[in-house]
Amino acid sequence: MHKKSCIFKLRKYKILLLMLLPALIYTLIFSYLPMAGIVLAFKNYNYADGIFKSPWSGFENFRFFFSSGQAFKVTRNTILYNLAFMVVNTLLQLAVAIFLSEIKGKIFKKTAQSVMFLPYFISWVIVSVIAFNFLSYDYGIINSFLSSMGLNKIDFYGTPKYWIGILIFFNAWKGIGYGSVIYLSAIMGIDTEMYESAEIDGANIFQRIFYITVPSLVPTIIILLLLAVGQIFRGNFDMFYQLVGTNGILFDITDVIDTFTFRALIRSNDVGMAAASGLYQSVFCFITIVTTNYLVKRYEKDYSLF
Amino acid sequence: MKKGRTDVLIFNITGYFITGLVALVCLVPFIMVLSASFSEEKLVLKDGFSLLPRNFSLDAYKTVFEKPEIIGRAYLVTIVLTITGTILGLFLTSMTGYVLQRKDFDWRNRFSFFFYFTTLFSGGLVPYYILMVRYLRLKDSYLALLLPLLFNVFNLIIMKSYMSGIPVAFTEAAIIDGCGDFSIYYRIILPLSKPVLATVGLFIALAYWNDWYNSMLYINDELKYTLQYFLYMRINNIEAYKKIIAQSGGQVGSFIELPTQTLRMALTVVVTGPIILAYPLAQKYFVKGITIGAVKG
Amino acid sequence: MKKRISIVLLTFAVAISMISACGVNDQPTVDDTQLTQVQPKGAGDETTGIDTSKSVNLKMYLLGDGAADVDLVYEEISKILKEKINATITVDFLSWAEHDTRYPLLFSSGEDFDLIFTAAGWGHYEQTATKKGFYELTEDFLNTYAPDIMKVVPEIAWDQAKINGKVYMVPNYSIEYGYDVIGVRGDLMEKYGFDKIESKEELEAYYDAIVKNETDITPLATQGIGLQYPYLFQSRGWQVVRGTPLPLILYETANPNNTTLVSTIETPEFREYAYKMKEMADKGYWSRDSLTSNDTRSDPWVLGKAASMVWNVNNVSHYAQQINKEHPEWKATFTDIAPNVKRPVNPYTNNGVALNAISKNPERAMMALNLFMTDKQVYDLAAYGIEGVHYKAVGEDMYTPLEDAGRFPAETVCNWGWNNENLKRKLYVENPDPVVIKAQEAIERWKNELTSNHPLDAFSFTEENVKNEVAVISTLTTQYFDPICVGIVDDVDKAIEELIAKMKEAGIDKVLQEAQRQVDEYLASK
Repeated sequence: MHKKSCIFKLRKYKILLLMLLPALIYTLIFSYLPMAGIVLAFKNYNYADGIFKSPWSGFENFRFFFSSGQAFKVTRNTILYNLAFMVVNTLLQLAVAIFLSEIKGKIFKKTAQSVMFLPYFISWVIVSVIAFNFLSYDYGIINSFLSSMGLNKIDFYGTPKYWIGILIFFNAWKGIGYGSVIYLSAIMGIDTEMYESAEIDGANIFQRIFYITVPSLVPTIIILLLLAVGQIFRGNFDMFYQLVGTNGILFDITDVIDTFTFRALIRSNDVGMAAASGLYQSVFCFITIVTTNYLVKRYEKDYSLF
Repeated sequence: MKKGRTDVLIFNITGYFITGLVALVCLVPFIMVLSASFSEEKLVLKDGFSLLPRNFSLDAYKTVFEKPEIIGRAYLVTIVLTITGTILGLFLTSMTGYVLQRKDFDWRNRFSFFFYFTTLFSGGLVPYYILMVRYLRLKDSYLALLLPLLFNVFNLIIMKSYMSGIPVAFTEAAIIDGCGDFSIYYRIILPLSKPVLATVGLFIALAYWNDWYNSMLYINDELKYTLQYFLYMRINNIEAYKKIIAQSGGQVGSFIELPTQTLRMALTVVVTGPIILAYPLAQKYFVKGITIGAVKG
Repeated sequence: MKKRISIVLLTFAVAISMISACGVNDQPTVDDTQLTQVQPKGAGDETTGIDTSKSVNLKMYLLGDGAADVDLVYEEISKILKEKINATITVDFLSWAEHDTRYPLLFSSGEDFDLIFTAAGWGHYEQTATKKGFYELTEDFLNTYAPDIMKVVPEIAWDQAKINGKVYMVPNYSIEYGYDVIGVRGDLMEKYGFDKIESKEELEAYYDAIVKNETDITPLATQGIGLQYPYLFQSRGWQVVRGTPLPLILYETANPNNTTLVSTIETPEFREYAYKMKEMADKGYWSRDSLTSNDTRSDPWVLGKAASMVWNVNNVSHYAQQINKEHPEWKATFTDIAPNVKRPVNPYTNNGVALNAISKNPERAMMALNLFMTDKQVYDLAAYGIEGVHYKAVGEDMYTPLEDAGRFPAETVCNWGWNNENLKRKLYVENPDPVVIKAQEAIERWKNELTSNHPLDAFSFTEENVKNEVAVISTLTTQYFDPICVGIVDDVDKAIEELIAKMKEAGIDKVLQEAQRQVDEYLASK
């Protein structure tokens, strides 16, 4: 019975499967084949033996991370920052997208959209220089302004607690263009008939947004949140590394798994240890997203990622 | 009617204010970069950034463009690569996205997971590099720049998500007419997906445009370098400088020629310049709303 | 009778001496070029018994951005190599921004090349050697294929290059001192009445004067690297044990009899230093943002934002010259705050060349390297470019750059791997800046009187057995050690307690023990 329906389905889905084939092959070659390299996390890699013949080393490569006394701290930081980013970015990008879609001024809209994309192009290396120009104690723009008003200067680089806000700000700033475009395009896909009937019913603009636009965007919002959740154990290395730099005073608040691993391996460049750290992140990301996806599926089947 | 006017007014005030503020915050740093690129190096080092150029100077740009043939060639490589990659990538991504959102495709979730899984686990750079260089023999090949960025799961999911929002009514008519799966995709779904195609197309184009990493890894032939490779290599030199200083306890590092601050700013401007024009292009396709009326007609 | 014999003998002697004198003048000097020219092409080299009948193409990887005329220069080099060892060579560069990523990948992917630049600490030496990426250089191999190198590179250098008793690179032969000097402003010294600054106290007084009286100039721009090296160990005659996490484990290089290693952070001197640094930071000797600053080590001094900089004598004098060109009234110079303490020469493994373990022609590669390092023609080409195009030779040991020098700048195109003191050329300048002369004299004096001679100067630590502890310690240094070193902490004692506690938790004692064990083993084997 089962076999019959399998063949039946194959025939039914023939064209669909053919349409899937290129991407399948692509993914197999470029993502699944190299995945075998995960074994590096358990090996003492050397060039002569290569990836597969190098001797096994069990969990040795994981030891540095878990015996450091900092594993919990950096993991906690990573997760909390990602959660904060998720919330702040979603709200901000959503708001901006909705405003941009409703405002009438064409030139303003186009200019604003283009301008919002600019941060995306400025590499974190340069952003850190600009940030320093703003935040530095001696001659920074903010502090110069404060002292010219007779107020006390703020020691940004010496006070860890400001950095939660600073990092959230920069993360939001960098991604606003990219993120709002996704919501914008989703808004463009909403059936205008719904708006027209709402107008006729006498709804004001706020009601239109809250009863039509936002609900129509819920699938997109959930998908994007799920995608973010799937990366919740991974820190945005470039941002943290460039903005905070080697300023150790801030590390308790700003250190994430990726920057920690980077510092640990700066001398040895050990491939196995790097792979171990990455695997740790992968496994926990996997557990998190599978659980979350399952919960979302129970609530509404079509909103899930898989 | 008066009620209508006030709520629109409040909305507009808030809207213009918030988006204007966000736009300003995005713009100001870029203006600083722009100004610095037109400034004299010594003054930038001494006094930092500002909104206006300090002692207007084209020195940084002269250095960026000092070898116009190389930059010109790199521009060409990048542009051709971006256009080719975007078209192919869009086609691949949209086709796959379409299949995965078909509610009558029972296996869609399993395949979705198949794709999504690759964002969770990865073998890292070493096996990937070995695959590209030893087994696929793509060293110094344009394919090494084209293939890695063609298809990624993030774009796939955005595409799939948008397409699943297209009302079934559109396709029902076509099925009755006896259209095959591919035709439905090609003749109906694609035209209706202009916004998402523009979005994902923009993302793919940006990825190609900004890519220097693949050039660094796989290309040795100077003629094949992309624009970004030349530019980012110079910006990133300073990281190497800091690291070498740290690793050698300050013993080594004086011989590294560091790009000046203004040079790095000029490089950033040159990197951004052209592609920022791609955005308005994509905006053309952000046509508001699909009307079901079109189907009935 | 006697008289006649003596006249005859005398005439005879004079005749012979005249003939031999003439002979010496007329005979061409015998050298390698002659030998191979005499032999028909393709024959084996009879003098050394090495078979060079097969023509070989060698490939070498160097670091940096190369230069416009690299291909031109290496073509000339290939001509010479072809004559002498029947080989040609091509060169590829790993630029600074990419070498960290690409260097290990060359080995992972089994790329086919023969030679590569390497360096201990910053040039992937230890990492690649322990992963079996390099070809092992046995004494026999070296003696056979690089006999001239063996005559040039000092014994201690080979010791420094040993990893688990084996050698994997040819260290360069360059006598450099990493000892830090302080670049200072002559005009400010005059202004505040300092005729010399040769002690810590005098330096601090100089800084004090600056901080009190100059509004736009800070005494020092640290960028996280402040006075720790001079204060913590250099001025006391100690040195970091090579290969250990910087700068946590020290040995007393000025005293050859003391071979006990010491953990920096637990010494009373460290605490003293920490207090002093906090004092200085509080007084405003440097910016509160020193740990984050994007300034380079030299820019603030060169631009006049800072009154001093700390670095080794070569770099400091280089920047001093720059200053004096733009602002001769600043009278930039340098000073040594511990002018009589012994200091070690930089490890010779700071630059070097290694062979690829899977090279198809290791013997020929070694012979090529032999020429790079000891053959004057090849050395000059690789270091200075083509004579008459990029530089003009001034005598045997000096040069001046020519107009096209920018297309192949002297000593910039990664030739440091085979530096050879005997073949290096000095830049010929008509009226050298007094700073340059001061630097040269200082180095001479150090070479003659102040070079330390400690058995551990040749020792290198291998971290294999404690690599996890070292990894964790690496994460802690930036966070807990560096802030103390620049005095940006609220409570010095508390900060030190925390530092020591964290370090102990991370296993610094284990690392110290392992280092001492390796040291004792090393000394016992001598």
